Amino acid sequence: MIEFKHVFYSYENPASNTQRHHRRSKQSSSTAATENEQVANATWALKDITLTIHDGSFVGIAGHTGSGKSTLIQHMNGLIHPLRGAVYVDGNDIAHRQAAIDARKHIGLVFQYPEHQLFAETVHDDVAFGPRNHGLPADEVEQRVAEALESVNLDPASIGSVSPFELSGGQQRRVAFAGVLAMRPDTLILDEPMAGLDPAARQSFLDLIASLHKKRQMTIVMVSHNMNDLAALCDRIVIMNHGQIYTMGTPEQVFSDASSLQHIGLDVPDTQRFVQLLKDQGINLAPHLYSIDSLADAIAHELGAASMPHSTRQDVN
Amino acid sequence: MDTRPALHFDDVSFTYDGTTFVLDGITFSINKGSTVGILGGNGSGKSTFAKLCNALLVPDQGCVTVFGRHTEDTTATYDIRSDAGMVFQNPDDQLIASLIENDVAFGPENLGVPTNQLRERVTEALASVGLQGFERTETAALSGGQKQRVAIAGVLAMQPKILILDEASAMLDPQGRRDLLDICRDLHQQGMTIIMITHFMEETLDFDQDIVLDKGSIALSGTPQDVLTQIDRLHELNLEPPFACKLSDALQQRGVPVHLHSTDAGLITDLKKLYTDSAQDALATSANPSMSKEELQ
Repeated sequence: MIEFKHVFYSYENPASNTQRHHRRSKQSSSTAATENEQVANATWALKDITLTIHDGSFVGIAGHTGSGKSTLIQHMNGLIHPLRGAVYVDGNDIAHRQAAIDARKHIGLVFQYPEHQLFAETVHDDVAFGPRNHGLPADEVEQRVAEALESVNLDPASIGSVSPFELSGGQQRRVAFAGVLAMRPDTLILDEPMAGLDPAARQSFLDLIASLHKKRQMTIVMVSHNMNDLAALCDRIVIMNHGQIYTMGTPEQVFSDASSLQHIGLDVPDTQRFVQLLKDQGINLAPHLYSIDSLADAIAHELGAASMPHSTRQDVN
Repeated sequence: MDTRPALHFDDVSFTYDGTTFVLDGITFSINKGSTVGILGGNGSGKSTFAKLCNALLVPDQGCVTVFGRHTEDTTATYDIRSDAGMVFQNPDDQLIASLIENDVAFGPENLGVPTNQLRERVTEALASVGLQGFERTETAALSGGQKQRVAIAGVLAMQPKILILDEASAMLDPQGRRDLLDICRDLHQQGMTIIMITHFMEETLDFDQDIVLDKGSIALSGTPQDVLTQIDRLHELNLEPPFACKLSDALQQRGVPVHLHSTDAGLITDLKKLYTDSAQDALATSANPSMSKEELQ
């Protein structure tokens, strides 16, 4: 379980700002900036974030570029620490070094374009890097490499000795992903895992993530701009805006009202956008999170109900 | 008036290794001032196609002409590249200077544009991409979408007639992608020929023509409405049909008499008409007393 309690973060250090402030104000013999002023004056990348990610859940995070998404997930395994508030992993405050080290053993973070971080001469060595670094015995390393490559649907026997740089973009990303899975994390944090992939590679990657969640009960935190994907996969969605949580809830709660997200310039799932377009034309469907099929059902019902009362009632029954 | 096609591929084949043809006998023309989407999955030959357009690669068989000039004619390379400007996928790979104005001026300066005109070109190009007043900003301080706009400005400053975007939106967020499309629309209004290579079908919905490549050949070609509604074929080609097409297909399966549409607007128009008709029918029915009685019984 990952808990954020009133987390604030700024890339400029507000404490040092205050000190500067303080020195200057001393000269003019006025009082030092209060803590409240410090909060008000800083540019916060995260501002008062409180949220809980439960074990086994699938949480989506969306928001504009610069809304604080990446800063948020880097707090989840202690890569950066809150300036105020705290992040707890399984009850331990990961501002403490040992707690952060422990957390990283079971929380895998996959950055954007993870294939840019491939470096080894062979696929095998790249995937083995993490386990070896953790001082695991050779046979254990071998087993983990094979298992990790298999879980991303790559054949360890045929691909292990190949240079990762000879692979297609989609395959490279799988290798990078396998490198994280080889650490056997129980939680995966993914920063836009599908960015830049073509539709076929996208879909197979989505399927892969969904199966890690379903079959292995992995906790997944996924940052994505693709609201269709988030709506289809997540239990809960967090929408970030200007470093704060704009809204948070089930996909149904977050997406039922398209206009509230469109208001801050975000996309909504295609189905929800279409419901909004229908509404603009005076065709009102019940507020609901629709799939393509359920939306087609609802439209067929709405049209049928108005024109052919008898047949429609039968259809619905 | 230049009546030559902006770009013409005549039976073009290309191979990197001498055995596998990445492009295999492709023939088509792109008219001046038109907007064309080049679609296809990874490995379909899209990027090779892009590089053939401005003589970064020359064909092994057949020929490519840009406003009538052959790309294999090395004396024409210079003119071809000033006519056909290209923007690539990763904005970070394309910016070379630390100040925006230097970056945008790099191309025209290399073309030998006199210094007194450079300033004007930079100002104009930045205005075209909505970054007026950003001359003295550092490129490092920009978002991905802004960087991509600077990359486009750098190409525009060379005053090309054709703008080729090779998956230029792939790494942008939704807002960056919308901005990029808006810029393309504006440039098209001003007469620019736009060639957009992408795997996002939705980006080409209002284009004049879509060409779908598969394994180095043209699999589909026509207006977006014709191409993007071939739902089964697109799935075979590993492409994702637009949402409106999937929804109109689902509606047809439920007996709702709509056409297969590529755009939301088209489908909305059909539905609006059906809805109005059905509402009138319902009104006519309820206005008919004998019918109501029957219904009551």
